[in-house]
Amino acid sequence: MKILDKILIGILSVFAAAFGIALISAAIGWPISSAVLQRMIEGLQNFWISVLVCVCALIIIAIAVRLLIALFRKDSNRPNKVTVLKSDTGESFMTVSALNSIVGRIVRGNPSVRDFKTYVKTNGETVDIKAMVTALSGVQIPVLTEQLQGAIRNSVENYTGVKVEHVEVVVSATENEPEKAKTRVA
Amino acid sequence: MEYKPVNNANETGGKVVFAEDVVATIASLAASEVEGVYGMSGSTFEGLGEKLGKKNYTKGIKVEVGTVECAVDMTLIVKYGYRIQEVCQNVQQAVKNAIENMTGLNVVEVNISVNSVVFAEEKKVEEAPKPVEQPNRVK
Repeated sequence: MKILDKILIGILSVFAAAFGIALISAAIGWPISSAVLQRMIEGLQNFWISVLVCVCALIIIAIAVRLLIALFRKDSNRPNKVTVLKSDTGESFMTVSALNSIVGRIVRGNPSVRDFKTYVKTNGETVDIKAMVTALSGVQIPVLTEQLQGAIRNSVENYTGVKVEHVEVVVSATENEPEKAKTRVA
Repeated sequence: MEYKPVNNANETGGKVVFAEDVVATIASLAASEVEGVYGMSGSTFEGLGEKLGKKNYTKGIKVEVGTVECAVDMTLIVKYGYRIQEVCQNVQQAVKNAIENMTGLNVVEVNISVNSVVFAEEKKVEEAPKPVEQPNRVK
């Protein structure tokens, strides 16, 4: 998601929250809300205030439309499929999300990994894989990263037939294993 | 639904017409019999009918039926552990054979998109309900 979209979602959320609060306060009959509403209705009779309110409403509608379009827009610059097989009968592709789930499965299978996040990028033919992992403390990190790199490359190439260009493993944190609760009785 | 005439006019002068859904159903059944295929991956809208209890055999399959040829595009869910290249190759061959044998159409393309991979623990285990033991009515 782009930063602009995040900002727009933030603005829209503030408006939605304010609208929700106004509705609730009107419903339960808060005196402050009726006074504010009265003042707003009186204010709308002024031409310039009406114009200002209309402009605000149009901006909110524009933000909502922009976000809706962003929701259904596909990122056309980056292919989201990688070619698995080309034959006389046709072509076979695999989506990046399917590939990502395989990578996740491989990383999760390593007992020294506590938590992880994986990213797969493709140019349509080959893939670059990045795994951000939280390792158990006490683990030899060079050994772990080497294990993960090898496992990811071998498994992806073996299962999918897709060439893996780069595998980047980043150990972003280490974490202690949670202590088991001690039993008070024998 | 669009019906396309197939160029297989026989001695009686008649024509056999295949609906696109028929070809899609043949493709779906052929693909689902291939080892390693979990199912077809359709859109949310396509899956809605299945949630309501109606089996949709054309889910995730698009076919183009011409007069003598047809092309198939399908989206699959593959089981983890199977080599995806081999699964795709087998599906292509199975779909091509099934359509050619059953319809006589020449299959020019079977394009596959693997949209998802399922792991063993995600499989829905549909156990048959245990039969309720009925007391004997006669001795």
